[in-house]
Amino acid sequence: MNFDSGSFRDRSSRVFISGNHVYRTLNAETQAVWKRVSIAPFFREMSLAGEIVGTEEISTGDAAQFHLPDEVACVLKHERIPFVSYPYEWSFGMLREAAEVHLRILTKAVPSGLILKDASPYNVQFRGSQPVFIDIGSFETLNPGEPWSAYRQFCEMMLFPLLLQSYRNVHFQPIMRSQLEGIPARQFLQWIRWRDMLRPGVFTNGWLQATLERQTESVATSTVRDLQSSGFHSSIIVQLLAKLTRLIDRLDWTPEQTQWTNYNNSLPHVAEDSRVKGEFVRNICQKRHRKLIWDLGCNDGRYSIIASGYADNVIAMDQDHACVDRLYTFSRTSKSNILPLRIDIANSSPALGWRGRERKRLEDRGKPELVICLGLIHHLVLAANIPLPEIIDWLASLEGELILEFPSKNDAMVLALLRNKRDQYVDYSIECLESELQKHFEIGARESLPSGERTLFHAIPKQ
Amino acid sequence: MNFVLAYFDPSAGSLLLQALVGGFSGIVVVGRYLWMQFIAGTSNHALLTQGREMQLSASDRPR
Repeated sequence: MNFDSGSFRDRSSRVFISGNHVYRTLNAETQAVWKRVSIAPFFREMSLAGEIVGTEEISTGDAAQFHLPDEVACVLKHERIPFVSYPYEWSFGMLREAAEVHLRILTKAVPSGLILKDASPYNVQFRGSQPVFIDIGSFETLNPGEPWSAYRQFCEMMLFPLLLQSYRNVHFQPIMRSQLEGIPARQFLQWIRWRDMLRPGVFTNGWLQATLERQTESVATSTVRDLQSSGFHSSIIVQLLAKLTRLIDRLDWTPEQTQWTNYNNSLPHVAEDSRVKGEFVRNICQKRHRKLIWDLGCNDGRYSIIASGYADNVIAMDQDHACVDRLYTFSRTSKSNILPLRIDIANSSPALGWRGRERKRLEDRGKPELVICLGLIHHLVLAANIPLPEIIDWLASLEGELILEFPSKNDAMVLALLRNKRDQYVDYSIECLESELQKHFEIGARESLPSGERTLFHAIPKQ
Repeated sequence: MNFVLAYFDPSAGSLLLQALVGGFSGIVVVGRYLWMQFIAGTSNHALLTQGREMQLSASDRPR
């Protein structure tokens, strides 16, 4: 048995995967906390509501099969989340939900004498569109007079990214992707204008925090202990949580209009072709139920919505933050099984963190049984300059069936992409596409769209 | 009291800030904390001064 390569920061609680199940080991100290947490009314209530991951303790006999280290006192078995995603792939609304889940749990846990020892958005995953808190090992006994140690982490990993997106329209995903520990207060202030100081949360959580951090760098004694001696009380944490909840609930982000936000209604050929594409997707999806479908370049998610009726989970990816956020709002409201993610296929999430093993690359988090790739390939070839054979090779490496749309060089969008560029794309032709597809797939179906310049393919991997 | 410390540094500044943000009782706590720091600083300073004076007087003794 090997622990999961991303589970090493907290030595008292580590995760491993065996078969199709996720297990968590606890040491004796954390086991005592688990005994207390598992009978807490708020924990049971939130587990039943699906806000906390389904968890059960397995017997010592069952745990023996894993040959665990001696310090392991007990093993928990978790419900498996269908597809792991990371904060740098989420939209504003998703990160805000993750922050709200933390605050809801803390608000209920603190009066019960419990607290979360960390506040990382990586402790939240999405079951379809529903956020789920997964780190049971994060629960800790709240000793009298003890402050909330994870307040700074909460600010750096959730509050500051949300404030930047909301107040300054700075997309947090590229920053979070390169800085896995989040955005420190001093860096946050570099994006903030003086007039933003008056906006909720900036002066206190940002400026004051940065200033106090600087002023207390040389403090030699334990501030945790000193605050306890000064009469710190858990009611102060409750008040802080209430203020943070009000702040985050009020945060909003109005994305600027992009080329993609109204794409499906902006061009005549799109509206005409859309109905036929929808039927094509539906015909293939309804042939059999699938566990996982990817929709690449999902835009408003209309094909993801069709596919979601015939699959356990649909991962809808687009590089446009506004599209992903809008689809998440729809998915959350309709309680659908669509997980929208902000992913640029030309630069998808790599392996990150310690030894490149802490956060997995996109392709290593679950193979799709069907990949929907509509209205995307011309952007990858003609805008991102990726050779067409490379793209087909990558799609084949996913090992799923493929629905692909190919616009010819006379298509309006293709002409627009090429109007100011030298046409160096000799490989961009339907003949080349078919030849590349046939290296990896059998072509199951093919259909021309009403616009006359676009063709749909259904490709099935060769055995 | 045995505290369960986190596996990362919560930073002294952030710990003080949460008391400040946490309402009037938190501000009182920070006031007490600063007063204790001041008293500790003063007594440390007095002890240091006393020690330095003792060293000086020892060095003044005739050899």
